[in-house]
Amino acid sequence: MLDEKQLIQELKHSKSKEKAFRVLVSTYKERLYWHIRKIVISHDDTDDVLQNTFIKVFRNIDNFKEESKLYSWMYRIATNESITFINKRAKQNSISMEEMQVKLIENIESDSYFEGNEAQIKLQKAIATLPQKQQIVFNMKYFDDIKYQDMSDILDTSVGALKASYHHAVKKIEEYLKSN
Amino acid sequence: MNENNEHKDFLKKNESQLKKNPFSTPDDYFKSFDESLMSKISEESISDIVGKENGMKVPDNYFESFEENILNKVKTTESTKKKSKIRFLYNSNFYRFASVAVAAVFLILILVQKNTSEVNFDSVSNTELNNWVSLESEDFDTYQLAALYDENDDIIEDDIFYTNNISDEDLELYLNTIEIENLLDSEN
Repeated sequence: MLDEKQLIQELKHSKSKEKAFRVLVSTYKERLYWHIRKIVISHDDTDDVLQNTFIKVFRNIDNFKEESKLYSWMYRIATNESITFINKRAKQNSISMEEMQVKLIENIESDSYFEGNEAQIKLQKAIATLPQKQQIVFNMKYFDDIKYQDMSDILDTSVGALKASYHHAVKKIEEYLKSN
Repeated sequence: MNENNEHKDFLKKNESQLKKNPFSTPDDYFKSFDESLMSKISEESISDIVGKENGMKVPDNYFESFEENILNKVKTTESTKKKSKIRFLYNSNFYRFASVAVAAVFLILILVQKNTSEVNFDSVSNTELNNWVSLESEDFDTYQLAALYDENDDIIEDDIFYTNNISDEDLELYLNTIEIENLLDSEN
């Protein structure tokens, strides 16, 4: 069991920082990878965003106030980095963020790191039609089974609002899957 | 038998308290129950069609080599950060020059503005000008300004001083019109 407080202290101390950072990366890389991947879709983009996330964690650990759990803080950075990435891409392509989300999913069939079947492709396309926040809430709840309370810390949104977002998301996806 | 009676007595005696439900629910649990239940039904329905896998894969050994990659990247960016020399404008003498330049521009603007009204450059006496210079530039004496130049000769172009030639005629005119008292004052 990872002693989070101890790890934070080590991360804040220059002599133990590198060793503690290795532990941190090793513990959270996969969870954060999949969280980001579901938002930005392609592996290469996910790799960039994941690296930026960890670099931000490394550089800003001294500013971490410990008001939330370390993993909540890292999830929040990962989420912000992913949204920033999509926004940038949307601006580069002179399209809206919603259009960008649909565009990202358009090429999923030709992605060499996607081996989903027809139903899984359809599900990804359905998710892409949701507003950004509903997408994130749906992914965190449906695929990762993250508790609403933890989600609330990460997304800085009330549990009630998250439940409502999830409710809207599953209803829309269910309808999409049944009608397409 | 006696024990049984004791229990009955206890239950009877504390009946009102014991009948109270000691369990509670989270706030708004029943209010949001219907919505949560409907969400769960939809979720099950999606799961029946698609399952819980999303079909996304990662390259072989991606996670195995991730720590090394990220540590190398962090070290590279940190060393780049250390190498790049940051020159703060407010710490540099450039800032001082800039403030003198801004003051000079203001002076010119004031003079130009005054020139358009009844006050012009000629109407400002040498005493007033001397007072203004001594008040406005009290932070910089001649030696300080000279020292600033010596410290910053790399950023001050020499031709600022040498290309603006003053004609002999202008120099003669200046020497003929300047009051000798002012020259003596400035020497002291």
